[in-house]
Amino acid sequence: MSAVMGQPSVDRLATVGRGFAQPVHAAQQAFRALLEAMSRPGRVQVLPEPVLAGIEPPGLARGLTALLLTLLDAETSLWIEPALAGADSLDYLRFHTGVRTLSDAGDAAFVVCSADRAPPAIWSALCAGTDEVPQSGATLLVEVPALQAQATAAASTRLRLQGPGIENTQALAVGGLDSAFWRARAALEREYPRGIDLILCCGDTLAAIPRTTRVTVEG
Amino acid sequence: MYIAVKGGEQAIAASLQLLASARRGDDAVPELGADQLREQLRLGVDRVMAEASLYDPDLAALALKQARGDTIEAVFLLRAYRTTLPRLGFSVPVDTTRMRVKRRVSGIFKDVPGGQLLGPSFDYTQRLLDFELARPGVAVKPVLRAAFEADPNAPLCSPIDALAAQGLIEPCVPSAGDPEPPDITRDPPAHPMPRSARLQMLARADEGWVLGMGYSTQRGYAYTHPFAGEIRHGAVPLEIVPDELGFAIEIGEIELTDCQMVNQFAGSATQPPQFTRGQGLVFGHGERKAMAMSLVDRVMRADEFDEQVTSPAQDSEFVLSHGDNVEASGFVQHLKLPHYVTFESELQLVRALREERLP
Repeated sequence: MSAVMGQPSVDRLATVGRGFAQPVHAAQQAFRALLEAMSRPGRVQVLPEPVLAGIEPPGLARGLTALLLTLLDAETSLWIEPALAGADSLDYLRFHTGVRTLSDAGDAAFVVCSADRAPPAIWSALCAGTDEVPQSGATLLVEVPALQAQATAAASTRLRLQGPGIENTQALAVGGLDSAFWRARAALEREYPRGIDLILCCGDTLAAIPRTTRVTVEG
Repeated sequence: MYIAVKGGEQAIAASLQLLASARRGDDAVPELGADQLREQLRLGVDRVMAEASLYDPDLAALALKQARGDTIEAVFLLRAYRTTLPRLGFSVPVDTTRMRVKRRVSGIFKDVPGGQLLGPSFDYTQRLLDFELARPGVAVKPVLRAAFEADPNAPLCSPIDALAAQGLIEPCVPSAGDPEPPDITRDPPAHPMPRSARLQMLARADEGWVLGMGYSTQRGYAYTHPFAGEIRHGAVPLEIVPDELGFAIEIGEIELTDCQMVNQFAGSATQPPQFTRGQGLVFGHGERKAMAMSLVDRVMRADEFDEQVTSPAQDSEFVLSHGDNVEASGFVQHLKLPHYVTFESELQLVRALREERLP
């Protein structure tokens, strides 16, 4: 178990931004969107406006923040890329959820990073669970610059997804993550039921690629 | 746990009505309040709290009322309720040396520092039925509490600490590296368990099961030669450290029973001999359970003392896997559920086999 990062002090807590305006309803709606995203891999979901209303995230995107407020609690552990989150973000998440932030990504149940800092090696650095306890595999949340069913931006990578929750194939275009990242993800498929579940966030939208989904890079 | 029942909707509804009626009993007799159970059947309430692993005397009393006094059913109800509760925070470890002691006895020294505080106990009764209690309204003589309770401002030291300081009893120290203990309510069981997980399992295991296992160690199935070093019961402060303060604040008290058993000594070529210990800690006032738990804890430490595992109580996987009365009760009682198809297939098989054998 890696070290737990520093706890917020009284002074810093005075400046913590607001979380959900309606904690119960917002968390339920965000969870519903996330459940839909996980059940139908690759389909882009939009977080409803009432979920996002009133959130004052320090430095993180609103949609990503809403998901973190939904998923995290005092019994979960988090590693968040240092460049993405300063002490303000950690204080914010600790105050609103009670989550423990760890210094080593390999120990964390939830891992957050931005697309430009998600190297292919991240797939082997995170906890993928064990054959006996596959549910302990981490959930990786990545903030990407583009996330659409069909690619409009040239910089996006076009993916073809197959597997449970997809009738035939599902197309998804993701910006900011190169094909080496997706090849490393595909290499993990043979480890099933061990694996890492991926949630992609872009502004107020999200899509999920759970460990059961087979990913092919189309270009 | 097998709790799903299907079919016979009207019959089940009628059964539930009969249950409510049976729970109430003769309505010429006044109804029991859960508060009466909490105050007057407190040891039963304490046992429900211990085995449900939820400290709430009011809800444990309610569960006992709802379960018609069936302890294991009440444990099931409270354990099920426990699973619905969010975890609001984590306390710092409780310190039983800071206990506001109601009872403290030691079986190894007569003149233990601070004295033997007998407190309320069945130990000094003659186990004769008291027919006076059958008559309502018998006044209880007031007790001069001050004379028979420990000074709340002066923590009562344990007689074991002095011996531990001299090296005669093994010290009570955290494991190497002080690892975070596994949480048996969150992490799937993986045997062999570390002692921290074994103690959690024993603390909420069925009292009858732990008592039988502890008793077996005294009768020669594993050798411990135990002494009751100290048994204490009372209230300990519960503290949390809020982020915004950074220091511990007291949020309340819980009552615990702590038993430190002093056991057969162990030594080696490199280590001089010293007594070893077993520990028991349970919610509420549960001396029998705490003592039995400390015996079982000690014999399960065979690997630490290079002892041979020869007896059932030393087999931690066997003892711990079968000590949870919610699981055990569910699996035994699920046999009442329909097994019509399974039985029909076996019936056909037996008929076919008999036809082959009989002329």
